[in-house]
Amino acid sequence: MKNLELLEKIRRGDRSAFKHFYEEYKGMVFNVCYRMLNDKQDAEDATQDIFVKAFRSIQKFRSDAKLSTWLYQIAVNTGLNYARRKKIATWLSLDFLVGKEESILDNAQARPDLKLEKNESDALVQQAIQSLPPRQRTAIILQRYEELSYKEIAEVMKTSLSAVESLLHHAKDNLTKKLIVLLK
Amino acid sequence: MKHKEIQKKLLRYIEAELPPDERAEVQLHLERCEQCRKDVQSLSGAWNLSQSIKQVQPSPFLWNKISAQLGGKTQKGGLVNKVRVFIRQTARPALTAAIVMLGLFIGIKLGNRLMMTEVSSRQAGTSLQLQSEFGLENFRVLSSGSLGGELAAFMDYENE
Ligand SMILES: [Zn+2]
Repeated sequence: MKNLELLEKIRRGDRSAFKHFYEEYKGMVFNVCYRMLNDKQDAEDATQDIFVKAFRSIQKFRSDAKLSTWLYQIAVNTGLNYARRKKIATWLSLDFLVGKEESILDNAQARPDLKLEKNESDALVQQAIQSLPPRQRTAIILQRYEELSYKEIAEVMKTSLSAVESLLHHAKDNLTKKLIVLLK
Repeated sequence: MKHKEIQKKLLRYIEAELPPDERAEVQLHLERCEQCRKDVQSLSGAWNLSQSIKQVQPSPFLWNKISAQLGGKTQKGGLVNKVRVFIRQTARPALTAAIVMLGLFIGIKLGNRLMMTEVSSRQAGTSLQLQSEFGLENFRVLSSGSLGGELAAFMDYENE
């Protein structure tokens, strides 16, 4: 089904067309949320929110824009909101006193089908990404895991190409510092 | 460039994103610095392995939740999800923090009273007596970290 045709059906409230849309984009949305929140349950809650928002605001979507860019925008904003709330919650629950080691292990064990080494590396990189300021985190996730071009990242983040370049530059330098410490 | 400056550029070096002059400088430094050579190796190992994990997928039941939230009981479903997320993310941690504060407050008050009573009844007896008077033998001493954990576990009533 072509995007425009799909869009028209969703706009008319066609639920099965929306399911089609969900099936096509769920991986992308969930992935962005998971990379942003580093927790599967949080990522699912956020994904649910994002698709509900998308369904309710699809009337506002301009047909000349790219559907994925629009959805990425909702995903990134919602994901960052969840991350902000999660940060406050972590602080309030005093989890920071206990440390984060468990979450790395949890993540490593969450996917036993993959080699532990791979999971450990992924968990470390994930942890380092979490420590980045929100806009650097967004840019690096979109580049590294979503493989978006600079131009596409700029569109999603509503910013200029040079700003994206600078965000990625700083994100990588910050990640290097963090990872060198974590890998010791 | 100093070692420290070189260090923070290593990821962009690995990704071949440095301008030619900076790249040459890093390369020159790597020839002389064993630490940086090691860091490049472990860094590129972790970085590349992590990228090979690509897509993670949501649970197969997620569509049902979304569909329920959009369905006839739209408002209700939306509200239930919001309340659930609110409890997990804000209310429960806030309650934990409040209880910890209360615990600290009671602890300080109790400590003050204990000290005063101890002074006034020095001849009367041991602090053991005082402990049972205040029911302190049932008071478990917890580190602040494990206190948070215990309370969180105690309140973890909505774990699926
Ligand atoms: Zn060096």
